[in-house]
Amino acid sequence: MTGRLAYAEAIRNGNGNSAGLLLAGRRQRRRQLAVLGVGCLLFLAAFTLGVGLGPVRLGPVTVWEAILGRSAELPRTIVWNIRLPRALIGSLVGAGLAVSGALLQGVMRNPLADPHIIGVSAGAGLGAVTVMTLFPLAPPHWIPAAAFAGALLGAAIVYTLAWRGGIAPMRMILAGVAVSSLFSAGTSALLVTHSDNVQAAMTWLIGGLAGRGWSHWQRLWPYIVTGVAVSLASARKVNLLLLGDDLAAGLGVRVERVRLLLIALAAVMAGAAVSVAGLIGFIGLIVPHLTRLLLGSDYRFLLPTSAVLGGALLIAADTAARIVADPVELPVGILTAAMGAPFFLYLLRRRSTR
Amino acid sequence: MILEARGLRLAYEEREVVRGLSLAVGSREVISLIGPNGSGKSTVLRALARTLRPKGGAVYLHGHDIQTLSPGKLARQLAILPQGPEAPPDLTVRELVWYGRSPHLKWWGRPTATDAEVVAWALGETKLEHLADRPVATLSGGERQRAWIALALAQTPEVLLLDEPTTYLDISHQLEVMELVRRLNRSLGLTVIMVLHDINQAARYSHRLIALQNGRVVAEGEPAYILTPALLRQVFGVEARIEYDVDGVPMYLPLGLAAGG
Repeated sequence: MTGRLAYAEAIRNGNGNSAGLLLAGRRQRRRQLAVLGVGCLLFLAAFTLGVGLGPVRLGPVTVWEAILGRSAELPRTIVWNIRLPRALIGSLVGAGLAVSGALLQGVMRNPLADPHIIGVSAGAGLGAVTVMTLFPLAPPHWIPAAAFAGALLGAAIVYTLAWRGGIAPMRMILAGVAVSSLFSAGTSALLVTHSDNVQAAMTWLIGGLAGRGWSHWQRLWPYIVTGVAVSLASARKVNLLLLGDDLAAGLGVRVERVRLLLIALAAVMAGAAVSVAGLIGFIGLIVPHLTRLLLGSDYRFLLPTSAVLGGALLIAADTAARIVADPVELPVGILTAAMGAPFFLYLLRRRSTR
Repeated sequence: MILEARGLRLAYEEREVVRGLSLAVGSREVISLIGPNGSGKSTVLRALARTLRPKGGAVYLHGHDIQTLSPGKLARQLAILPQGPEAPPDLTVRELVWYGRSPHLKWWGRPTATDAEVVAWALGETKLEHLADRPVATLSGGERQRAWIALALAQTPEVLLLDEPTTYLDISHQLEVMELVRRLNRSLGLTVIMVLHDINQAARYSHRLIALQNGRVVAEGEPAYILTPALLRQVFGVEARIEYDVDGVPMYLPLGLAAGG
C-alpha cells in the first residue's frame, strides 16, 4: 500500500465486509477446483482404458499392477513395451496442444487462435514432408527433428511479419493464415512431384500415434513439461492480458515481453507435439473452449484443466482409433474431430439457450 | 509536482500526434484534458501511464523518469483506465477488482488480509458490494464504469488517469462518476487526470483545465480564467456564450459553428 495517501485510514474507516467477500469468492473457487478434479479423474480413466484396451484386454487392476511392475510377465511386457509409452505420449501431445491453444487464445484475445493459426502446423508439415520426399533414405528420427524445426520457423516468420513496434493480434492471425497457405502449397508441391512417398506422408500429415515408443517420449517430454510449467506460472499475467494491452500494462505487465514468451512457449509445445504425432487437429482449438465453458476464463484453472482434458481426449481418441476398425488403425486426427466437434457444439447450444 | 511531462513527442508508428508538450500536475489536483477529436488527449494520457513510449522527452513521477521505474512499482503509484475497456464474459466484479491488487502481490500471487481489505474497501467506495458476484459484462453502463474504477482503486494509486470515463453514460451516471472522482480526491488526496469531452463537466469538477490542439497545449489554468468564447472559437471552432453559476463555475452555451471554422 502506498504510504503517501490516506488509504490506510479510509480502509480502516470503511465498512467493507472483507470476510464476507472472501467467503463468496471461495464458493466460486470450490466449483473451479471441482471441475479440475473431475478432469483429472477423466484423465485417469482414459489413461487406464487406453493402456487396457487392445488385442489383449487388461482389466484396470492389471493395468496398474503392470505399470507398477507387479503383474505377470505378459501384461507387463505388453504395457511397458507398447501401450504405456503410447498412452504417455498421447497425454503429453493432447496436453501440449490444448495448453498451446489456450495460451494463444488468451494472448491474442481471439477465440479462433490455435496452434495451426500461427504457422506451427504448416511449418511442421513442410519440414516433415521435405525429409520424407527429398531425403527418403535419411534416418527416421530426422522426420520429427525437421518437423520441429519447421514448426518453430513457421511461428518465427509469422511473429516477425506481424511485428511493427508491437504485435497486433489480428495482424498476427492474418500473417499466420498467409504463411500457412504458403507452407501448405510447398507441402502439396513436394507431394505431387514425389508421388511414390505420398502414402507415408499423408499418414503423417493426418496425425497418429501408431508405432510411437519410448524414443519419441524422450524427445517430447522435456518440451511439454517445461512449457506447461512455465505457462502455469504465467497464468495470472494471461488473466490481465485478457483485459486489453493498455490495462494489463497499467497493472504492471510487460505486455510485449510476456506475449512473446507465451507465443514462443505455445509454438514450442505445439511444435514438439506435432513433430511426434503429426498434424492432429481440433484439440488445440476445442479443448480450451470446452474448458472455458465448464469453468470460465480464469487461466489459473483454465490451463491445468485444459491440460488434463486435452490428454484425456487424445488418449480416448487414440484408443478408439485402435479398436473401432480393428485390425485397421484409423488416424487419430479423424477421431479427435469426430469426438470433439459434436461435444463442443452440444456445450455451445446448451450454453446459449440458458 | 507529482507528475510532470517535459518536451513529449508522441507518435503512432510514423504519424506524429504530439510535438513537444510539457505539463505539470501538482499533488491532489484534478485536471481535465480538453480538446477536439485527434488533438492528442488520449495519446498524452497513454504516455503519462507509460503505455505509449515517447519518441522524445520524458514523464517524471515524483521526479523519476517513469521509463526507469519497474512496471510493478509504477502500477502501485499510478493507475490508468483506458477508454471502453472490455472484460471476459464470465469475469465477476470481485475477480476484476482483485486484479487491481496484482501489482502488490508477489509472483506466487498469495494475497494477504490487507489485500482483501483493500478489495472490500474499493467495492464499498464504488457501491458495488451487492454486485460483487455478477459478471462485469452483465452490469449496466454506470455500474460497469464503477467496477473499472474500483479495479483502479484497488491498486491504491496516488495518481489516477481516466480516459473519457463518462462517455456512453446517461446524465445521472455521468454525474455519479464525477462525484466519485471528487470524493476520492477530497477524502484520499488522489490526484486525477482525465480526458473529458463534456466541457461543462470538466469545468465543474476540475481544479485546472488543459486545452490541447494539434498535440500542443493552447491554454491551461483554472476553468473560470481560461474558458472563454475566444478559446472555444480557436480550439473547437464553436461560437459560444459563457455563463457563470453562483459558485463562479463557468459553463458554455453553444450558439453555433464559428464562421470559417
